[in-house]
Amino acid sequence: MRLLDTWRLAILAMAIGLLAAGLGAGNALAARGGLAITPGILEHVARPGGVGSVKVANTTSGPMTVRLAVRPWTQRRGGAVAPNRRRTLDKVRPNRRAFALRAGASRTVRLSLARRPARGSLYGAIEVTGTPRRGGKNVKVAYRLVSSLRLFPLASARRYRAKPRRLFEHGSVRRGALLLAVKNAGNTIDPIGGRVRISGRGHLLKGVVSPTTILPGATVNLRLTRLRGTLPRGSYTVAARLTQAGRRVGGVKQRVRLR
Amino acid sequence: MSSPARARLASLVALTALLAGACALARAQSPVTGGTVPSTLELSLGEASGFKRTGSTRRGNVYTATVRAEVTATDAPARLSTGGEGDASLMRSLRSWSEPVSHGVATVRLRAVAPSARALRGRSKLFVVTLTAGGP
Repeated sequence: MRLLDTWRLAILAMAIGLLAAGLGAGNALAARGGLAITPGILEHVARPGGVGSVKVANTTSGPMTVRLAVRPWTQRRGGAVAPNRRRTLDKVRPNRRAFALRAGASRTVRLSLARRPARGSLYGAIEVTGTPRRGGKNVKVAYRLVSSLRLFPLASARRYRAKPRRLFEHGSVRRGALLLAVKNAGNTIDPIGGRVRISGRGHLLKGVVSPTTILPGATVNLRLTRLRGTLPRGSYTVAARLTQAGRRVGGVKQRVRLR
Repeated sequence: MSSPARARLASLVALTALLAGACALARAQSPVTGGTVPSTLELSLGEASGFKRTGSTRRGNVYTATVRAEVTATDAPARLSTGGEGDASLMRSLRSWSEPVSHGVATVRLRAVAPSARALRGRSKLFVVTLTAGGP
């Protein structure tokens, strides 16, 4: 009797084991797999020669055609950044631009900088597109990963500079914002922020400009303050101090009319 | 084989099976609670559902398919978007993560316009799901 119970226990335990093993496999198969790139951000000093490598892995169960391109970023006035898909960064050369990857395989792509960038730094997007050789049911879906390439200037060549451009009101005094277009005239991507002081008509408003990453050479509208009816219509003096990496990089003192 | 020996063998089989099961379960479900991970970006897509007609426009019928996406990005912010081959500004943002994400899930809707289901089957439109992480 005791022997029979032990065998029953053994069968029950085996069933539990098989169920658990199946659960593990089920979790692993929940996604069909995809495309991976390591590292997510590639950082190096902007010096001609090798600047590092990225490993591209195909984790799907089928073969894939992979294309790799290094593109410049574009930045909108609102601050949004996207890779410019019409251009490539000629100065950065990958040793492979297109290759096939078997299921579960990976390949390392080395990147090199052909010559020193004019600004002393270079920021771009590493775009890896993987197209499965076999499509799904009427639907063919490709993977695209966009990671970041940061080629920093040498410590001695770092320039921090911001050029304030147009100071303007967006919206109205009831519901709007006071914006200052700022160009990053330096060669780093340290966020640019600062302090603002708005005075006039018996009112004084002090605020902090939240730090925003601006690409070198790009211009972004920084919000100096929100306007929610706290200031009446009229003419005001706006003084803004811009800072980057803890140092003062520019400023503006200007009169503006709020409507 | 004598009865005590059989009993010992059965106990051994039971213990081995339990251990194997526990190991498989632990592998499948135990979360990583700490440590350093290399900077990585990964996009996994499940099997896409077939196109189903969901509406119509002047240009033809609208067909929609869905695909499950799983995102791992150690560098924030991460943004999942979709679109055909072409300009990045035409990409439609689907979901954003402001913090590093591990196995974040999103459902991607793929939309196509065609006069009929047969015409849709004949086309070879490539949908691209894009994962952007880290920013400049």
